[in-house]
Amino acid sequence: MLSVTTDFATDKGDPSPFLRYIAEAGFSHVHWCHHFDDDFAYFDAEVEQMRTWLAEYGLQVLDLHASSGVEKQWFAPEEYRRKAGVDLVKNRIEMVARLDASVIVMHAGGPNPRDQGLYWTQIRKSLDEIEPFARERGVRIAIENGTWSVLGSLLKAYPPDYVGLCYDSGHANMEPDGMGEMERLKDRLIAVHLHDNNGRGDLHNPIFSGTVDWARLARILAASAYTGPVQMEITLEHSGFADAAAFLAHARETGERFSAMIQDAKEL
Amino acid sequence: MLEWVAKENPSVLSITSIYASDDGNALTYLHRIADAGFSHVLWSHHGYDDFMYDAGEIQRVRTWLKETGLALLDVHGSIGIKKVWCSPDEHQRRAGVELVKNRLELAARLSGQTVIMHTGAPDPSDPEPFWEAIHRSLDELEPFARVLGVRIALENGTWAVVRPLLAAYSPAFVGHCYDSGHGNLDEAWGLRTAASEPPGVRLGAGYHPGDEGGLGGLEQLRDRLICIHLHDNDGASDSHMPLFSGTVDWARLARILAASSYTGPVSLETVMAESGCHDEAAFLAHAFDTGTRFAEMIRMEV
Repeated sequence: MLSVTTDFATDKGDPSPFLRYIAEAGFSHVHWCHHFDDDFAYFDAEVEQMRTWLAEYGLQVLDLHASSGVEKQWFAPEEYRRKAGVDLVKNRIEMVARLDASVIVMHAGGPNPRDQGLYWTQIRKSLDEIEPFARERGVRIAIENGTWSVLGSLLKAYPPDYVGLCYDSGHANMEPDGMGEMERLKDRLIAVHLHDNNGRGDLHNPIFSGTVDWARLARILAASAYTGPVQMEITLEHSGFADAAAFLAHARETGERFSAMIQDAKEL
Repeated sequence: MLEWVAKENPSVLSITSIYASDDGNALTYLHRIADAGFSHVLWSHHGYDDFMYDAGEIQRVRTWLKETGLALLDVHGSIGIKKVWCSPDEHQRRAGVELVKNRLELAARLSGQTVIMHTGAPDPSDPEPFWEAIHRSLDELEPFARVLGVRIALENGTWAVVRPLLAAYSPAFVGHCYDSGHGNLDEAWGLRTAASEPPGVRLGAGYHPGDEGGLGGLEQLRDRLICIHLHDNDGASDSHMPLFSGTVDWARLARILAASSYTGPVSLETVMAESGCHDEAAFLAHAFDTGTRFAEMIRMEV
């Protein structure tokens, strides 16, 4: 089992050609990432079409990158924007449930230094409003590492059967010890975004191509609560590959190699 | 004829909400529009994407209009990017219908009565799926629009699409929106190419030799006119320039509007981008002056 993001080439337009590439490269799962950073709301007909495509290509959705929106922002200080943001998150919860998966990944932003209290009021209000809706559908929210202090507070405030952690190896690699921060929260890990970089830019490059300490990460993941397949959030853009098929073949090979490293760490 | 113009009320004028930008918080632009003296606004934010307004967002726009003292004239609906009401792909078409319904709801809740829609055009090699899709969408939208009391105004892009659709649907549901800039491109394109292209060859945006577009096209449809988008250009590109700055025949347009079924105020769809003016207040002041001048031209015809 191996998963890769649907937006490895682009997150706009018709996803079906990219799903076909992913299936042909031998992946079993996808991380649904189209429209992860805009205000797009999926309708029934569109979700139904996705189900059709996924069945046609023999792919399963592992999890879904939901959107913290542009105008519709679940932590916005303006109440009308926050409410629209809550609806956008609910749209993705409904969608992931209909695609037979149970985790959405969210960015949580962070407080404005001039008015920290307002941020916390807004994000807590949103999480409180979303909780019954998510529970009814059996979907959990994985908050992605951006600001560790925000993440820590939210994980403390909400139970593991509603909120967990999504570890993004690229984001963490641009911090002094992002991996160590994750290690302290590894019992809450429910999703992973694996990719590499040079420690300076969020390049989303293939794994083993940059400065991420993959051996250490394999050991931590082996001891974590995460039970899913290796999931790569890699993109063509800075990878050096021009051809999607070659890029995905390489991704599959590196993904399998990292899966084996985790398995070895588990068996130690 | 234009009732607002006939009432000799020169301050009744409308302009698009996206004269400067369609991004971000519209309140700033609404304040500037009101400060320039306009009474109405054509709501065009998200007129070209898949954005769905929810109840809270619609309420916020209502509050902004109240705060600035502006009235909504009409809403520019969206033909969408993935939610396309004329798409031959059924899932896209159905999503497109929902997007149009969202704008009908928006217009109704903002006390507007018209949503302007682009129609797209058929693939010349396989036109049937387009016609099936747009008819199915209009059929599905009709009861919804009638309940809300909002009409759909089809904008001139492809006359060969707009004309048959107006013929197929009742004036109580579908009318015409005349875009003077698009119309001017039809005319310039036709004049440039009619001599060199063989008869029957498709020219420009649905123009056929002998199948008059532009102001001639409007003249034929003037009894179905329910909405106007006024702006100018040089006949080469759709630059949304201020009135009287390009090659539109404003005198002829004034005569046609005076004799048309359109009853609203002069409505400008001019934008700053290619106007040469970088100051919003100066741009709007000029827009207001030229709009007033055009309203006066119509009044003279009335």
